[in-house]
Amino acid sequence: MKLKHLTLFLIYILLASCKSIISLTENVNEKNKFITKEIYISKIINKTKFLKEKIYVIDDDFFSPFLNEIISKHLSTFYGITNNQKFVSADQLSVKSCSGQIINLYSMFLDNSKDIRNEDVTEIKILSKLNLDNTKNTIIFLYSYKLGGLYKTKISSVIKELEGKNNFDYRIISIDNYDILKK
Amino acid sequence: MKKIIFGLIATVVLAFNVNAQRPNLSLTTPCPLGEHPVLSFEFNTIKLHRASTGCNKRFSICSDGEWLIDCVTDITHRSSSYNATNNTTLVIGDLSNDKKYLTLRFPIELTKLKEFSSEDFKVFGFDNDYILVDGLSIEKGDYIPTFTEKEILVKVKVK
Repeated sequence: MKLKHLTLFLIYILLASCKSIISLTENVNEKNKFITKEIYISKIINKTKFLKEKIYVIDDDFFSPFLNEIISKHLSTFYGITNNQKFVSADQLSVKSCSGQIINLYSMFLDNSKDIRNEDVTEIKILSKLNLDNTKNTIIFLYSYKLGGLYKTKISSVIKELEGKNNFDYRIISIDNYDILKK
Repeated sequence: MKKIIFGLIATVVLAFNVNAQRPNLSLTTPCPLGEHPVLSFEFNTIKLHRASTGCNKRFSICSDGEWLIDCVTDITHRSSSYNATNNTTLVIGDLSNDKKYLTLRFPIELTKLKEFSSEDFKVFGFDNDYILVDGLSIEKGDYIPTFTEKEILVKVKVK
């Protein structure tokens, strides 16, 4: 009887507080400050193994409007996909941080699917800051150290799945400007 | 009052006042004066499906979230403090705009502790460079504290 109650209680806890459990286990929203951009990037590389040349800390001048865009579009860990001729925003995803959905969107992007909405690359100002390779199909990720361990399922898993196929490339845009003291 | 201060107090928390340097940043803030923005990841959906199916099929857990900005009170409005119960001290460090100086603010209660004499508070210093965090050290040397009603202030050189 006790075991049954315990099981029911655990199931209740799981369903009632999935968000809290994930926050706790993945260390989401930890607080930190980074004295310099170099230290920040070095720590991120050590933790995530993202390639240094793929990580971008954007200038403060661009950061505020960029962050406003992220928040207003309810974006999560993906910004979009581009090959410098067209851009597809991740706001088309119904689950904005779902790795399966971005992989599917990437596939539709490669197929020039009419079911996705293309945007004019000249309108996406941030692209000029990312040193994009025009011969590649690039997924642009949004990263903050506040994701904690979630970067593995939300970002690394996508890179691992697509790396080496169809001229895949990626960029990581850091949105940690508030916590980097010297940029 | 050299290194010993850190040894005698059970826990010293250094809170860097990032807002002290805000005037130098071109980063515009969405928060009112006296507050600063803090980014956080807010979970908004938990789907009980597998991510590889686009979070639409099979039994698993697929979380989603979005970014939010909270406005929190600037640390400039926080004072250093001493907690006699658990013998801890909160020391506030205000980094100058040019990042060359750090003003440490200690609670005045330290001057009343038995382990210090009034002589101790004439000089604050280190025999060797003191690493606060990666990339930020206090330069060795002696520094003269100044006093307010509530705090001991020590302006130290950092590198």
